[in-house]
Amino acid sequence: MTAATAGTKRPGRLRQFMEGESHIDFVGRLRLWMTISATLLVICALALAIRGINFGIDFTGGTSLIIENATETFTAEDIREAVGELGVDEVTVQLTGDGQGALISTTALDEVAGTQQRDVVDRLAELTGADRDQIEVNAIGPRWGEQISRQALEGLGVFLLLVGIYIAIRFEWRMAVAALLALVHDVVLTIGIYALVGFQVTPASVIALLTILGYSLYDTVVVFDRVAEDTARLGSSSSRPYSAYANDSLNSVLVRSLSTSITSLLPVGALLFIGAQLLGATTLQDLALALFIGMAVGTYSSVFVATPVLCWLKEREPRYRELRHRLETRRGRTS
Amino acid sequence: MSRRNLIVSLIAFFVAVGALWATIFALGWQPQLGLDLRGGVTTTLIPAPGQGDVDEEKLDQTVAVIRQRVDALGVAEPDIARQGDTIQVQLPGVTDQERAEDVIGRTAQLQFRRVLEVIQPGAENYEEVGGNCDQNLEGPPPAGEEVVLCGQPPDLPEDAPEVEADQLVKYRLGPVDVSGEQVEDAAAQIDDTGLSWFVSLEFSREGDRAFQELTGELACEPVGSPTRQLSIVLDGLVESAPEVNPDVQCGQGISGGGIITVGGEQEARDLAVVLRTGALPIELEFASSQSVSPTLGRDSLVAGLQAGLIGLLLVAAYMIALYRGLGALAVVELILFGVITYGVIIVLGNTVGFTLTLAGIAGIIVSIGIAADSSIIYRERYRDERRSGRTVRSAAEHAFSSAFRTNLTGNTVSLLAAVVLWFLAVGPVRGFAFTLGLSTLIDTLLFATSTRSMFSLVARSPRWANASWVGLRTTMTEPEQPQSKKRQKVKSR
Repeated sequence: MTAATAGTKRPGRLRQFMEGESHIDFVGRLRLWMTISATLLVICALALAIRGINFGIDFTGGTSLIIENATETFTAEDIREAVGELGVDEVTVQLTGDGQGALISTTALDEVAGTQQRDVVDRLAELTGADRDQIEVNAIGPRWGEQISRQALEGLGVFLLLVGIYIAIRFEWRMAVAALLALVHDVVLTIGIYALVGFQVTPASVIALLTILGYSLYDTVVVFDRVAEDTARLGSSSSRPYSAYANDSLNSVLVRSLSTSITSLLPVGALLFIGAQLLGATTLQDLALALFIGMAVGTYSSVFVATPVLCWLKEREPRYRELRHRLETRRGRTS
Repeated sequence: MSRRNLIVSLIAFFVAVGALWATIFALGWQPQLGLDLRGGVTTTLIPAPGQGDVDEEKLDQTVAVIRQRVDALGVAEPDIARQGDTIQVQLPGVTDQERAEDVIGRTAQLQFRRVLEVIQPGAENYEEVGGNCDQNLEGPPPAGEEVVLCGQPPDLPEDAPEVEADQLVKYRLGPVDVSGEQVEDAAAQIDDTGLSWFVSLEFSREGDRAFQELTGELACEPVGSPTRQLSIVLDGLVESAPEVNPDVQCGQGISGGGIITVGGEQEARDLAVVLRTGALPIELEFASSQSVSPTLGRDSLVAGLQAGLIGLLLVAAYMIALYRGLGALAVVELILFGVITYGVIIVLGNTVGFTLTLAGIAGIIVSIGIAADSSIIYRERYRDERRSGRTVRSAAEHAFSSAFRTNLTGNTVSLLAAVVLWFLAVGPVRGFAFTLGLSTLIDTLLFATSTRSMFSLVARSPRWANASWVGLRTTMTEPEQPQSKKRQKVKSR
């Protein structure tokens, strides 16, 4: 033992890990991760097919009304009945704990700001004793909802394209492919979780989804940056195959990757927790929830999907094939 | 970078930040809050179907009319914007959603036509003549033709409730004699009895002449006959059909304007506004209409800020646990980041009119993670450099170069996402994209200047470099020679 380490005890495994020493074999267990991912993807695909996504009124069109400071007593049934008399079916009602408010949403009324809508507001004001002017109405026509959906999909498409090009230029096309695959994986998994649990998808969720993609990509790019750096001078005469170096790179950025996820999830978690306290402030909640799920998924994919896939692709490159072959035969000879 | 340059860079940085905030305080600037934090009404309007392809010029004219109407309503800082053929109107602070909808969305096409025949609901030919009063008209009634339109019964008292659609009276009317385009001004006034309001109209010279001619002809009809009535048609419905006063002589007519009896004060005022500003060139319908109450807005703002603060505290705790003194430095970097971002948002709000929405706040909160990440990358790289044998100072230098390159690559991706979102989205998504992009830029800028300077200066000062609480030297950042020597010993056995 040297003077530098004399007298200091060896830190525990966790501390060791957090200070950057980890040697987990990610790349080697490619099959395992692929199996896990494939299973998850299948579950998500099934969930999407069977349950479908619960879209909020911003996409389907519809009307939501928020009642505050009611003076009469009423039940959810009362509301449904009252509104049903005006020809409005498919109503969901959510009452606040203190009975002084309600959140009502329904599919699109005849027209936005039309007479049916006015009648509904009148009736509800009568029923609950709330001040008519204070009833908050959010009415979205179906065409608007379609437009938003279309824009979201367009945005997604363009983003994926641009990012693919950027990575292909900055690094190489194989990395671009691996990164995009990881992204697609993220999208399917996140949407699948939404379908599985039945969370509602609103524009805020879509914002969050796009953020997650940017975030997951950022994560993947940082890992690839490291891999590119470490394998820059690798050729067919190196002492270890490509995957070994890539795995080392992955391990060395693992702590950083996890730390980033934690520092990102902490504020988002706070957002989720506080947003849940407010009725009707669904923007915060939806955003936080989607971000939370997506960030977790994104971190998983950068480590367990992107890099292993990259290695799989790279090992097929002629010079790395040669390298592996040479190393394996050499090992064969010496053992 | 030499020590002196680092210090200069750091000082210059702090001076810039100081100047930023001094300006803000001096000018008394506040952040501009969006509708969802302030409360108000947002509506989007699209051309009603059946008008074919709408041309750009007409859309712009429509926006201009809406703007005039909104101004007349007295809304402070409205925001009216057109994207494609969608018009978005944002009215902060407005609580009466329905009134806003009426004033904005009403086409307000005014036509004066002579009455040819009045057909009551019970009459024989009621069903055959004209369309169903229950249905809305498709487009404005043709100006040059005779039409049959529906309206309230002529002699209904002012405060009687509105009549059901199938009980409306049908009027057969002649072609348009005077139109709303010839109205130059309209004002709401109260009548002599003090009970009912009306809107007085002032015509253009041509309109006045036409009106006088029209009423002159009608005055020739016998009193009490429906043909002496003049119908006032608003948006395809007969608003009222008063009889020309018996005093008026045949051929003489009424000059100097006309009046429309309305009833309530607010109704009269709103009608005066839409008539004064003129009819909308294009008929619009609502694509969406949303209102946020100010209390909910304020609650959301408080919630957003609380979440941000708690998040920041948690992150600070984590950083310190991981990097000790260096972690505390990272917290300082984060705070600087927050201060600058907030300052820039205030400046943008007061110069280019950028408003901060809830989605925008969420964008800032997400960017806490991005900013923290830069600090983490830097420190992890530092550890790597130390482990490969560099001195504290040299490790700090090299760590910066590689960390900055990584930071730049990663942030480009975030920026790309923000830009794409910005161009392709509307409404809240845009606000989010903007704050995300802004924070990403600020993060890179900060990284290259203050973060680098502070870290390097600390690393160069022997006192701080050797202090264990700072964390520049820890057991795990010792060079690896001792370990490798050990391995060699084992192998040779």
